[in-house]
Amino acid sequence: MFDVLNASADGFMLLFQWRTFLFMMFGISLGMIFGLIPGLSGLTGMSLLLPIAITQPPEVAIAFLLGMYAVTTQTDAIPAVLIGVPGTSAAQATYLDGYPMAKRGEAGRALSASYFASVWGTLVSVIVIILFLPVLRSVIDNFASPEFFMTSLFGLMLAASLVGTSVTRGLLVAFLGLLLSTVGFAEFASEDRYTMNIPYLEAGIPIVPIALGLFALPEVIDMLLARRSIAGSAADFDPRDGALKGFRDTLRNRWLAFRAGIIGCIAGMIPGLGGTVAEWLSYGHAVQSAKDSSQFGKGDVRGVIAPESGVAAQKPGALIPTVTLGIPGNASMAVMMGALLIVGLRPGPPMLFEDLHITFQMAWTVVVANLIVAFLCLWLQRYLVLICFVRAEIIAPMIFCFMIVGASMATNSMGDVILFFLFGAVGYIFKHADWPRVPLIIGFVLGGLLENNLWITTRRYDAAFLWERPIVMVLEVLIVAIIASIVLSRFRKRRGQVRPAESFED
Amino acid sequence: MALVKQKALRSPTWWVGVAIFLLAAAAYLIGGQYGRGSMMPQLTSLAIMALAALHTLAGLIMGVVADDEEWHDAEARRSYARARLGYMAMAGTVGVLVWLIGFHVTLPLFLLLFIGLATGRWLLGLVMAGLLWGFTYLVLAQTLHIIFPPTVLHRWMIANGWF
Repeated sequence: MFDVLNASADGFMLLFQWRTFLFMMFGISLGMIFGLIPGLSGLTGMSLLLPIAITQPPEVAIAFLLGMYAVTTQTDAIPAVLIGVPGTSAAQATYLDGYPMAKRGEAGRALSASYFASVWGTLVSVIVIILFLPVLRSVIDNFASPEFFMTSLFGLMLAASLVGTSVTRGLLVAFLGLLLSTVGFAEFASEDRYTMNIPYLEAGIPIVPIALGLFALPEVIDMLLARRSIAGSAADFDPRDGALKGFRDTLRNRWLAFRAGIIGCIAGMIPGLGGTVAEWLSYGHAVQSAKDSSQFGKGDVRGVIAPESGVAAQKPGALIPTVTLGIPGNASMAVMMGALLIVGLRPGPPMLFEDLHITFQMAWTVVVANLIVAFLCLWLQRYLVLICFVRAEIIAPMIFCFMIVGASMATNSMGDVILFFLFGAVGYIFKHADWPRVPLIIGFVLGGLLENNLWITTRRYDAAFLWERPIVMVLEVLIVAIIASIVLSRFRKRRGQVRPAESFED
Repeated sequence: MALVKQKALRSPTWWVGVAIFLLAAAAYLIGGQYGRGSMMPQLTSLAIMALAALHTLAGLIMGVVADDEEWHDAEARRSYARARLGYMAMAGTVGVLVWLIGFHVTLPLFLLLFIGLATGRWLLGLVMAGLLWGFTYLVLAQTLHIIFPPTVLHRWMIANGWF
């Protein structure tokens, strides 16, 4: 344990050498911009900065790349909250409650809560890594396709807990998301499915145009119809008050942020789950664990804190399989692994022994970068939130243009724009016909993972995996508990709330 | 918005359920053509069909409970629907123009026209359009080398030897 603590302290000190710190600040500045621009992500930034990073010594290259990567999910909350454009897939859950808060004039509070939740999440993640690294390694080592399959199923059930009025509709939409995820070339079967001979669809449907279409386009149209700014009147708006409230909200919900941080950290450690899954699992947990979940989706600050903490915690977690097992948890980590190899570090067991201080330097970079950005954004917040008070006729077409540009950057194809409009129409109909949209995205994100692991599980294991593998059994119990709680809570909630439709229709 | 009980045939919520059922039925039939990759699409389509059938039947028998907009008169509802259709048509037109002539022309032009016509502040529209063009062309295309998809006009110009 002492060698772990020593390595942790060494890694921390390494970060404050002047050159390392300078490059980290440079990376942070660029990462803030990449996060702010809808459509750009940590992966784009990582790829663009790789040629510069590899000319530097290992500790500087790491601080530069991770400084940039760590903050993209922190600043991508800004467009999601302020203008309702979740520019990256990792900001979609934050948008759900952050944007309604902005509409109420509480953008500052939502943003402040998101910054502090991110810092808290990364801190929790690093502490979990320091304390439980040996245990976690053995748990992760036991993750095979049955565990991955059950984790995906667990995520899908959490999605069903995010339904609106009807459980049936929530499940239906989640399955629709699963069906959508089957579009494209199936590698294990070596065949195209539902592509209609359109080359664009062979690579599958990208998530960014779907998310922008489903969530953001209906909001812009409604904003124009209502002819008001995002937040209404600016008369009683005080950005400092909002920042303080957000900080207090994070403190008040510190245990929720803590649990979301652990969920994010573990999701990050499991290769293939990634930030989007971490965020939705955290959001689902927030809804599930809340005594009163009626305000989720309408501007509940817990709906901002949990996903932001989860997605931030996922990043230090994702470093573990990348650097210790040589298995990148996501595409950005694959680029990171390439950078490590080029600068002379060998991902694998040595990173847990002789180079453990470098591993900790990486984790601390994420924490420190998040902390710096939290204060930078708080300082800039008073100017940023003014966007919410610009007239709809000015801000809405601007957002609309950014959405089209953001959607087109998914695969740089016109198909992205077509998909954006198609899902915009679906999102609008769903929104106004009271069909939930969130389960569709979660079903879609989990679909690929679920199918691949179901495929391997059915061929590699017999049905005994359901009762012979302890992690699978724990997940089964959790799934049953979630289903029971959804059904019970919906029946309780619906009783006494329904009234007949307006009579003027007849 | 409020929770209301609607008659199935008059409820958009119910009709969306019917549309999803038909979509899943089509997906199930098409999914049958795939060999080893048919398991997931067919299983999922079956689950969707079962749930959609349940939703449809329950709606027909008991009515549909949905969170619906509250309207106090039919005329307000109709005028809202007209405005909604207008904005949707406008969004669609912009999409078609992006496909035909591209991002760098369509989007700034749309911004200028929309802000100018809606607010009468043409100068502001011009500044915003300029900023958007600067962002898409100078920052994204020229500095970050992000490739925007080719447009119909671009392809036509290449085919006719303009480039």
